[in-house]
Amino acid sequence: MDCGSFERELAGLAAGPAAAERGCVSRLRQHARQCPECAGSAGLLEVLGRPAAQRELGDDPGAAYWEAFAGRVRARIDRDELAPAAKVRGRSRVPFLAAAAAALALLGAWALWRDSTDTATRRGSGSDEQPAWATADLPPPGLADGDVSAQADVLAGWAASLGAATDGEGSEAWGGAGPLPDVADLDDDTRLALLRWLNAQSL
Amino acid sequence: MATEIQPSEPADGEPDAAVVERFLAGDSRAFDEIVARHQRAVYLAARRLLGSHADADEAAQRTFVRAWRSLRGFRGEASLRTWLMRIMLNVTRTLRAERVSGEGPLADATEAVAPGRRPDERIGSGQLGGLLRAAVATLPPRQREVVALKVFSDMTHREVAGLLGLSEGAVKAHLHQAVANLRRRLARHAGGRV
Repeated sequence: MDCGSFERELAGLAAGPAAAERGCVSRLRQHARQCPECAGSAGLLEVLGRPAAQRELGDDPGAAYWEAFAGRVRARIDRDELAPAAKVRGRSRVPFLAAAAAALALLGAWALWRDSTDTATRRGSGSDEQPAWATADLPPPGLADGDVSAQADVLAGWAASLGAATDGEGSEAWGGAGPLPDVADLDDDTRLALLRWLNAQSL
Repeated sequence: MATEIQPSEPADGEPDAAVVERFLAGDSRAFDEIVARHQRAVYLAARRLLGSHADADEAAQRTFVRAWRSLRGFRGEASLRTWLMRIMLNVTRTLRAERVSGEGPLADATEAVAPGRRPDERIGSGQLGGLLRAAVATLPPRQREVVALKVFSDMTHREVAGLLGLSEGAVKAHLHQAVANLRRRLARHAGGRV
């Protein structure tokens, strides 16, 4: 065997000892023993002559490492899962709070408008009756416990109502874009739920 | 060092695909089983590619964290091990880039090399692993990847070709060249010139 053949057969061994012809390793060993140029490959030959699953290089970190590994991966997943979740929550609150602030301003404008209307009415009728939303229990059950999805649903329902609202009176008191929506068109339950939620917020 | 082999799929056990299905159905413990089955193959291939235990450990952990996030997208077109190896390859490339850009040095892969003694003496004293690790670490990246996957992870030429985006012929050529390079490096080392 010459050195070229040695190298070719060694490469064949690297590709899979099972595919190497019988006696291949013995022939290569014999050549490595006799050839100074190929003697340096004796160690490589010993590794490549093993089944692939046994071709470790003495750097297996040991049983304790393997036993702990899955737990370390799990801890890292938990840590990584928490961090992005906090970021998402932080980001999602920005438009949510902006919507709440806009809703508050809208309600304020509506309350001013309504108050002037009610005052005029009371002056006419002498009645001191308060609207239901003004005497609602606070904080409201269900909305004060951080049930963001329920709050979002309330706002979404209200926003949908706003989209369908027609122009109303009191546009001069409304500082937002577009005409003043007629909040009176909202049904009582939605308006009450919205007000309860707004009252429960520390904006 | 421990040399026991953990088969990726126990002969009398549940196939990988079934474990993945259990995970997708909400059994989070199934993921631990996936890790246990493939952790050794992933780590050792990463070790061949990166050289040090610290880097291989980091790569193996990142691989499984990514797998956790992406397992819902696993279509089963390749074996789970091949899929994990693809993630591992991407992770090791990212890690190398991070190290090169100054986010931490790759650990010296030439540990346990003691030049100047005859190869058979070093083999006899248990330094063969260190010699070969050092030699593999000096291979060009593509050859190192082929060696890690083909020689030490027992993947087929087709699997390696698919992972690396090469033809099977190119994989064989890289492997042949890698062995030739290893021979040269080991011969130089045997003469104490490294």
